[in-house]
Amino acid sequence: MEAEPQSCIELLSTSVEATLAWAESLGRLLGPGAVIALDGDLGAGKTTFARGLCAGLGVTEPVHSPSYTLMHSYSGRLEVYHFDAWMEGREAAFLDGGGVEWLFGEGVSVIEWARRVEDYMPSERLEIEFLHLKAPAIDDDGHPIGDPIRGIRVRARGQAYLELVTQLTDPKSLPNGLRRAEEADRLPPARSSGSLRESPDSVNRGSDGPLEAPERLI
Amino acid sequence: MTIEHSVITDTAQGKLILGIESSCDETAASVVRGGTEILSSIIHSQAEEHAQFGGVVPEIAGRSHLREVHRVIREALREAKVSPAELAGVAVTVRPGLIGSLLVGLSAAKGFALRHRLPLIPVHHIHAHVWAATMELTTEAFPAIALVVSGGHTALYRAESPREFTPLAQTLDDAAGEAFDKVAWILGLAYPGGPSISKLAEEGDPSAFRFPRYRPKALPNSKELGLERPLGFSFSGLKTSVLYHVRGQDALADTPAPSDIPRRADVAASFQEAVVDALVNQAVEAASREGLDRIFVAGGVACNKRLREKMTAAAIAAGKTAIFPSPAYCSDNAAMIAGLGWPLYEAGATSDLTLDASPR
Repeated sequence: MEAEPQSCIELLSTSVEATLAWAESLGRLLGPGAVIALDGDLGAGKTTFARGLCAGLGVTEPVHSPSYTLMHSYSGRLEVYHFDAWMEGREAAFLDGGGVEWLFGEGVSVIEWARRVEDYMPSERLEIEFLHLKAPAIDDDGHPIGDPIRGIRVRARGQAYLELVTQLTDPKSLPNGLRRAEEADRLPPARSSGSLRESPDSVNRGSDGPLEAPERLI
Repeated sequence: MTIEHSVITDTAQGKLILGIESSCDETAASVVRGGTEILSSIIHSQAEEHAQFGGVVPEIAGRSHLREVHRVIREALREAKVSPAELAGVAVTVRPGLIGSLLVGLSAAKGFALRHRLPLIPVHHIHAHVWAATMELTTEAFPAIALVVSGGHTALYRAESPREFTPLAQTLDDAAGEAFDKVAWILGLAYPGGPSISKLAEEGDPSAFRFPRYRPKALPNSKELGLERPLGFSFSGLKTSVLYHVRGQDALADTPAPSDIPRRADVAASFQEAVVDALVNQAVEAASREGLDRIFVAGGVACNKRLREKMTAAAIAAGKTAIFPSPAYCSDNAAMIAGLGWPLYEAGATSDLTLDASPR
């Protein structure tokens, strides 16, 4: 089978506001049936990004982590389905039990920990991975000190997403605080999202190296 | 009509309410007299059915509710030695929860109400958790501050009465119970994280490591405008702090295997302390600002021993009282539904068969 066209672009964010603004601009561009697969460590910014994306889609309700309830749905310009595959076995059972219809439906689907349920993902999708480049310092009141530096790896799978990514990552249109990563700040290899199902003893917890070799990046 | 009316009056004197709860993974029914006297409380837990998935699967929950709900209702009536004709009404959880699960309980309640000509009493699950904390009180319960803290909720309310809740604050990101689950995963402990962290924490030093206790930032110009710092919760930053603590503050390091994490019990105890302090601080602050003396703490995390100790002590120090449900009524049950059903019935908050359920 011919592989879907894909591209991977790396960004560097030094501002949470810039990442949010960028997520909003993505939200404004999405059409019915769009699928956004989010990955990255605990606390790397997946839910925050989903919040920005929802704002761009015109969702006015508060957006919270859907870990506990598997999926939240919101109404904006389009219906938004916010999934969380943190507990992959549970999410797989949910998708098997009919949840997958939302994933292939007319709304916009946002899936956190998407690699854990990769088998259920449509072949055309936008993958966004968040990487902490520096351990965030947090003050005693729980607020980050300064702006944490995050890497954002964007991979388009399918022609439609390729065009979207080209438009979104055009250096001229990126908000202040977000820029294309250069050779000098080559991001570390992707972390796997870990697997709870294959390793109930929690040995495989995001430490098993690159999923994609860097030379496949363009 | 006259006969039917007199029947309703008679049953109202008995103050007996049947409660049905099916919002998540417990199928429960209970008969309670006058809001507080629990005659029966039957709970069928689906925990074993969901354990292999590491969490509740809605499809499985819905089917299991369907299998168990009628048996649970029959048992609740039998144990209470109450016949349907003696009931004043049927209280049922209608929100929030898994919609497929809520609908099973609601349909069972409708069928029962139709057959026995009883009014339906729609109950808000969160309000019922708070009611559970008031059930053993002999004094007036409301108005009060209510802290609802569980796997899916972390919120503060001003509760004017059993059914009037004004939200004061809620979590910006993760619920407290969810933070327990995720930190339990980092430390290699079993799901659900609350009990397993609490157990390991007993062997640890809560002051070993300093993790953040979230407080919202003061608004700009708040001094000039005479505004108070807002109330709120956030547990995402705390969770990340624990992750980077175990990675030795190196963002690019791998998460160590649980067995390689030094002083795991100290990490668990210090994390739990941070969650508890954040909850206690905001709840006592809310009570002071609202000028209320009672703080009800409800939801699954209200079982946490350290939270009970510290909230009780902080409330006393502030001249207030913290009130928790008995541990048996912290997690989901129908006694709290049947209990809250009575004051709602008295207030005329009943419904006909068009009653609907809502996930939120």
